[in-house]
Amino acid sequence: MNSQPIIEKSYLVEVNIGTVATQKQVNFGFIPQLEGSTIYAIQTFNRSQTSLSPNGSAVVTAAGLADITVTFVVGDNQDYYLVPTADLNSPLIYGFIRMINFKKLNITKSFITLQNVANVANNESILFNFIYK
Amino acid sequence: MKYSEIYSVPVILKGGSYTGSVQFALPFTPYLLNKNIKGINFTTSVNVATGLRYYFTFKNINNETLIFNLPMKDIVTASELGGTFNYISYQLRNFNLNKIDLSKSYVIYSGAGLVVAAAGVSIGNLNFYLA
Repeated sequence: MNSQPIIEKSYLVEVNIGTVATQKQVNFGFIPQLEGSTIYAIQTFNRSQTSLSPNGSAVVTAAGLADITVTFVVGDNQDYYLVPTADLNSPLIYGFIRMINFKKLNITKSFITLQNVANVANNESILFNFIYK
Repeated sequence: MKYSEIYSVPVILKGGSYTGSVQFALPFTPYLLNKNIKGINFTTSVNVATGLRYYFTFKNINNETLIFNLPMKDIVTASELGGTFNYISYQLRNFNLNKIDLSKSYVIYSGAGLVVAAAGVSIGNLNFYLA
């Protein structure tokens, strides 16, 4: 049975990919609300769910998510290494939200990687929803 | 999970002509101030194109942001007029929220402008599943 998170707090974070290039890495920005927080579930979104980011950028498509991985750092360790962002997208995994084991992520050292640029375009954004407490 | 009550709140956009992204207040709902919210979904007749641009932020009575920019479509659990939505396989998202003050909360529309009829327009209902 898949348990699902009980959401106490959530925070939507936008990472703009800028000019696309294969193997490009883009770090997360500093997010004060998440500093020292324990994160226990993470989602991504695709353009079929939300077409424009809160900042007005086009959101990557579901196909675009397949081009992007994310690495989450705990302390100095890359505990979640090259995770496919498509695997964090609820519509692609029967509506579920992926849960992790209560980690204090080092957000500013975490980053996305463009593994391919076939389905992403310049200045699109990828949205992450961090569920935390 | 079992709920003892479902409380529905209409989300009404204030009439006007807006440029750029715009933020709309949610109605003051004192009934929810001392309730424990265990689930939230959104029932809507908003069409596909515009419905993809709304984000909810929920704050508590201390003005603390608990849920920041939650995409509307992540809490739409049923079919809607003008298109079917099954993004989350009809699952009801689980929450544990206390002392939510909707008058401090808001919904934003991201985009290059929006015209809302002078009388205001309802975009749907937020349904709160209470403990």
